[in-house]
Amino acid sequence: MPYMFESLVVINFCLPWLYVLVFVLYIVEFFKSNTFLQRAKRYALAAVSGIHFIHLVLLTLFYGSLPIANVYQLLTTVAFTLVIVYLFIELSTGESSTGSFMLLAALTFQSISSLFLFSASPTELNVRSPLLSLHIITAILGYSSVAIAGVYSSLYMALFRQIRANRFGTLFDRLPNLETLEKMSLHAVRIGFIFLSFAFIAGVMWIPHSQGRFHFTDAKLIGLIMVWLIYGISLLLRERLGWQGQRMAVLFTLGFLFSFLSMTVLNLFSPRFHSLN
Amino acid sequence: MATWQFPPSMNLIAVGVNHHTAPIELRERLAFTSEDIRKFLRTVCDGRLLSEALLLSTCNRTELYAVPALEEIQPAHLKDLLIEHKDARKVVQREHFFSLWACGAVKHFFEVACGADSMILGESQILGQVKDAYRLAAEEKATGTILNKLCHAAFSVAKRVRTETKLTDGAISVSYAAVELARKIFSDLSSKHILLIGAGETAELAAMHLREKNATRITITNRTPEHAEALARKIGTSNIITFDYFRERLHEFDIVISAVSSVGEIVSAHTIELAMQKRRREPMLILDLGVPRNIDPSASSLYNVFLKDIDDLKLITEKNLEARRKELPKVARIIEEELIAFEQWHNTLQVAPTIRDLQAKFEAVKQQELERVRSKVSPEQYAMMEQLADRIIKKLLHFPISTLKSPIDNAQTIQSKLNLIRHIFALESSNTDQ
Repeated sequence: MPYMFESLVVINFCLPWLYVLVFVLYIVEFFKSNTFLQRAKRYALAAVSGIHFIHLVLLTLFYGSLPIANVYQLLTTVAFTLVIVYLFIELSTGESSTGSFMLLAALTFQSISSLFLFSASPTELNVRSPLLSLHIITAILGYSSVAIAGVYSSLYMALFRQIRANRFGTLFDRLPNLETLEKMSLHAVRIGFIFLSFAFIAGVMWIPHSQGRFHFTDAKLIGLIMVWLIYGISLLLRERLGWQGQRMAVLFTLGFLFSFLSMTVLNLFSPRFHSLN
Repeated sequence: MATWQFPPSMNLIAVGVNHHTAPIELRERLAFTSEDIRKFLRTVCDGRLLSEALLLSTCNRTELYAVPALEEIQPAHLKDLLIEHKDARKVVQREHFFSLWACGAVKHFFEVACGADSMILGESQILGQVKDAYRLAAEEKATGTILNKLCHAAFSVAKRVRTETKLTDGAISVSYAAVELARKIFSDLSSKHILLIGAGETAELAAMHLREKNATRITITNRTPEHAEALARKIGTSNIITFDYFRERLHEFDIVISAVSSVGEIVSAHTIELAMQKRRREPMLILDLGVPRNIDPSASSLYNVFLKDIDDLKLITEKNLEARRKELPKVARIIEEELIAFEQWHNTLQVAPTIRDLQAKFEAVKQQELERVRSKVSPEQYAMMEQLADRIIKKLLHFPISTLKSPIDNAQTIQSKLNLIRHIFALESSNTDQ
């Protein structure tokens, strides 16, 4: 396909800016509720997610494999998953006040991806292995879910504090109620925990087939185990000790931050995706 | 031959007392029941004093909107009519009334209908009261062209204000703010167990607002069981628990509203802590609407307890009231647009007689000229000529008529246009000074 790489470069450069634009629309509408802006921001997000999809298709065609072969390809895929899940939530519930916060997470992931996408090895992982593919895809879905839970939990904490401190401002007016935020983050964590469990099992099963390139002390595998443990313990505390509300929100937010760090910061010290060597 | 006269300008008068002009003692003396209103309208409209009339009477205002049947009728006469009807001469004076004419009266009616003139800014109850007043006037056949149009325009203003601005948004009473806060913590009030401590007016208002938001599981407790039973009947619940026993069952409730006056603390922080332990720290909203406060304030530090008193809730109402005040410029813009539209509609009433005269004049010329040739042509040719003449007249009159109906006109330009048209077409008939 002619100009494929050039198109890829242009879209890769534009995507973060487009997300900034949509984020601005969402944040302005959050503070100044307006019927025109409400419609415009939804169309804008749908259009940008369409461009993002084209970006993923071009990446797939250009490299000959799904865009899950290095951390930066994974980050753009996670950003896309977040946006699609959020769009589904907005269209099905009509609730759009949390969009700006969700977009901030997607924008962060996409910005990091766009900055380093072409500097990383494009085919670091052999994604033709079915076990590895299962590990990566379930990890993407798991991390996307915990990212959603992290955003809703942060909003829960913000609204909780506003109510406790008698600050009845814009957050109080615009955000969904505490019970809804808690339910949404809990659903996301439950789904995320299931996907992370599959990712963990598939990853461990694949290690013996990696021809020595990866081992059980792999930093990202340990990171995944830590994230899985945080959410597993959180869910256990809820079921057994009845933990809920702000305590759960704090745990879910910490889990999200830890998973984000394990995907990004660890990579700064790692020459390869799954190795500290 | 009768001389043509200008049609009168908008002949609408509004007089009344309201919370801006008179204290409540005087407003009470001029309050009209529905039956009073019917009787009053029958008196003033049957006596040929007024050709149209509408009387709006609420707890904050008694206002008469009238189209006089005689030019001599002045606002002072209408004020006297209201005072005499309520036999309030000794208490209420003309000075307690406001008087408005034409567009001033229309603008005021629009402001009243949309809640911009209400004592509680943006309250929506007034629109229902305006609709009731219109229904009464219509049933008494006291409304005509002007008041019918005025009322429908006012309903349109109220609808636009409700949909295009936030004048009616947010709670502005403490009891409604309590419900608003509950809905910010819980998603579905219908599944929540609610305890009302007290059966007074505040508790009743809160219960009513909760019912409006689909809360059904409401339990009442009160020192006097008869009062609790009376309130339970009003809000349609059968759940009553004895006052001495409610603390032991506190853990069953997600929302507790306490509105017991002049009692002081009735629930300690320790009692709430025990209840929270029993309910595994599930969130509990406690709204203390009593003065002095009924709930130990230190309970607010307990985990997942949201304890709010009247002062806290007033922060919500004040914020919402401020937000409503900020909407007033938008409301004023809507009222101005609708006022212009109403004035333009009224102007078209003034030009209608001249348009009728103009069409009659051209029709007469057409008939006169066709008569001259009737004997010289066949019936088919005559019919064709008549059709042709009709088409020519239609085209010739199109511009003068559309100029007369121009929506950008005001009363002055309309008068000069009417003068010109009547002069150049020599229109002089007696049926125009409607």
